[in-house]
Amino acid sequence: MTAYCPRLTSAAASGWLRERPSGIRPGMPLAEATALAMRAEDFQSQAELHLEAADSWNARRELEALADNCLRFAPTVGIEEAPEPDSLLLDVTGIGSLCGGEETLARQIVADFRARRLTVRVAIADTPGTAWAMTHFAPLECAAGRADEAGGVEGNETAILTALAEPLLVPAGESALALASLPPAALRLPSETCLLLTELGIWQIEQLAVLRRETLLARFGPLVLLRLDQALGAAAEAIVARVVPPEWTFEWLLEHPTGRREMIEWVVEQLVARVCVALAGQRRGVLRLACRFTPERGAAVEFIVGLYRPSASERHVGELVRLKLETVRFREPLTAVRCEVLALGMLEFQQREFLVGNETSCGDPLALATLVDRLSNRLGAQGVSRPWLLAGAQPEFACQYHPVVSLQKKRARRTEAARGKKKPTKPAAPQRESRTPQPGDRPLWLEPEPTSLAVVSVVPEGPPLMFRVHGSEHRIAHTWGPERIETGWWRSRCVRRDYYQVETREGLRYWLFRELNTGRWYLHGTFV
Amino acid sequence: MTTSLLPDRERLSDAAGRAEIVAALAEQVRSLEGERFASGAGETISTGLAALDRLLPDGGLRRGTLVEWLGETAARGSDRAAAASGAGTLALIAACSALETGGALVVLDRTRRFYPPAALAWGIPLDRLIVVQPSSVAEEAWAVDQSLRSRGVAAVWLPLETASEHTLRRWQLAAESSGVLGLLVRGACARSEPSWAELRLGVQPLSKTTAERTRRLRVELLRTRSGAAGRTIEVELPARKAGQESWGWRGASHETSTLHLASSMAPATNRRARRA
Repeated sequence: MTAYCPRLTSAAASGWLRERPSGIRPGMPLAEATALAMRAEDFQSQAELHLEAADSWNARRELEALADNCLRFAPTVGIEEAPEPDSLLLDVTGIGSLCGGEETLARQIVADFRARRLTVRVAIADTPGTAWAMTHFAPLECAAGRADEAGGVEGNETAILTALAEPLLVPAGESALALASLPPAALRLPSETCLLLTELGIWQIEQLAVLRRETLLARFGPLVLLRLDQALGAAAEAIVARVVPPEWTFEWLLEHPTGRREMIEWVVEQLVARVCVALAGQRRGVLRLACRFTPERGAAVEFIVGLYRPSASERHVGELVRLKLETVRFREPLTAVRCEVLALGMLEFQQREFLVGNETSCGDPLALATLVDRLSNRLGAQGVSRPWLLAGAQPEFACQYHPVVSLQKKRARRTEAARGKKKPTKPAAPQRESRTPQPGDRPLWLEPEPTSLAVVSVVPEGPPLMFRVHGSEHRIAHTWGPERIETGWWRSRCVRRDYYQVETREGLRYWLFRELNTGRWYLHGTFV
Repeated sequence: MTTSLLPDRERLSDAAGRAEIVAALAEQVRSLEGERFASGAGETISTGLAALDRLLPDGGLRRGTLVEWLGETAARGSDRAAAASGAGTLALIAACSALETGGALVVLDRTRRFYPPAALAWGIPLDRLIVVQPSSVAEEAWAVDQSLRSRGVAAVWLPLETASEHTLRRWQLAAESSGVLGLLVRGACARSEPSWAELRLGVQPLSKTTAERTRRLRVELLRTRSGAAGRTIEVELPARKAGQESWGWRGASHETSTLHLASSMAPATNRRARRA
């Protein structure tokens, strides 16, 4: 097996570069590195020192993106399995001959990364272990030599970069020879093991390889032997390949730009049909579909259609797209129409009831999904929502609405990756308040903003006797309360209210409160 | 069939015979109308209140129909005052009853005033509640029409100010086609308007003499396609269920004193006082 190990520049290569002038290496404590950087001769002023916290999550995402990009060089691309991976593993068995030799292929990879302003070190070897060891620990002999010739710091950096770009090719069957002079750390061993080996006087892998296996197993456990065998090809090591979901994009290029509505609708219909046929073949359905219309001049028009449940029905998806299309106006003739699936999900199949004839069909989930799709796409995602109770004492913040259908533009692969863990189409059961509300405790209508009232009460801080709202006067027959709500100090201002449920002489019921800070009265709800 | 529809002249002159003929004709009209309903529609469901069920000619509300709940008040004032009459709550209790056989409740809330915690208290499961907030009257009419057509919906609840006869007719046909119960909460001014609803109920709150927190409402059967209108009953909210003492009011004993979230600290030593 032949494997590549391109190496990212982010931390590792800068370590190579900075080693000489300042001595900064990856893994060094920050204070020490800062001190060294400040002392370095080439450091001009204090202002240039820029520190940033490491973001391993984003680093992983970036590495995944690079891995996806490497799929053009090899069919199997994986990321090194380590807590903080910095290497990509490519299986290039038999690929070299297609590109005019393995060295040419390696140089192509280096050039591709350089175009992204990244410096990588590439090694081709029989095993992933050897390739990893070469990229991380093979000495930069030529670089040192050239650096001495060049003399200056800048010349040194250029020489190191040139040396890093040189691919390392380990001929087939010569892994043991290539590894012989490398330190044991090149076997991807934990630092404690490496330290112990150094203390025992084992500086190179060849010293390790000649030791008796039983002794190694007893002294260091199975990992050292496993890594050694993996590097030398005696034990198998698989590359965990990245699975990239296919891009579901269908485009229709119009030979003659057209602004005819019927023509555009027909094209969209065709594209939707293609999407549905392609997805249905894999038992998948659309969850979010982006439609993009490119005019002859000006900016492209784009809208997103969201679905409550995955669907591969041409009729249903087509209808939703048509509903959106009705609201779009094209000022210029169009040259291209594109449909891209942003999110998809597995289709759910349901067997039809054969013997249930004219029974009630109330509560058909498919029909509900169709309704939600239609409403969401016509009224907007925010227009169709599910309430979500929060444990907030302030009535305005005791409830939140969540859209039933998401119309945000997210990347398909991420949502699909997340889909494996949970079902995103259905929000989880709303969070219940610890106190179950009692019927009639809260009004069915709550004013978006409390309405200021003119209120008459007998005692200054007592219950109201009369109030005037919407032009009519109400005399109060009964009051219940006060229910004091003091909360929200962590928001802009603290809320201190005394709530009263009042019934007028006619039997109408309202929810009033007195702001304790100001003593003003407000109408906050109506018991409809 | 034609012969049975035509009344007999001799019997028409007799008062008892006339009443009999009218009842027979009403029955025939109902049987003809029954054919219009889709499967599942026309089935009777409870209003959630036994007294109210007894008032209605079918012993409940029929799926696939529209029901208007008119909030009325003895006081002079606009419809906004009548909104606090309790008609919406009665309609919501009926919706809760309709949800028992499955489906979702769609609430149309154009004014953004619907408060779900109150609905939960009346027994509406929030995971089966969909709140639609259209931004215009036209959008609202469309959304109601779509919701009434969907077989996944059990009931549609909406406060409605005005609607054209044409729109109401559309909604009625939509509800008939799917078996969805449409609950329209309206003001008293709708009383004079023609209606396509199967039932029109007037809800008037009654003033009370006791300080109990329950609500007394008078419900009048204003209009019905089958049976006599004009009958009234009184209901109490929240109604006590059989075997249930009460809904568990917390009463008027709300805590108004300051509640210390953190335990208070020991008083600081007054050094000056000690020196003195």
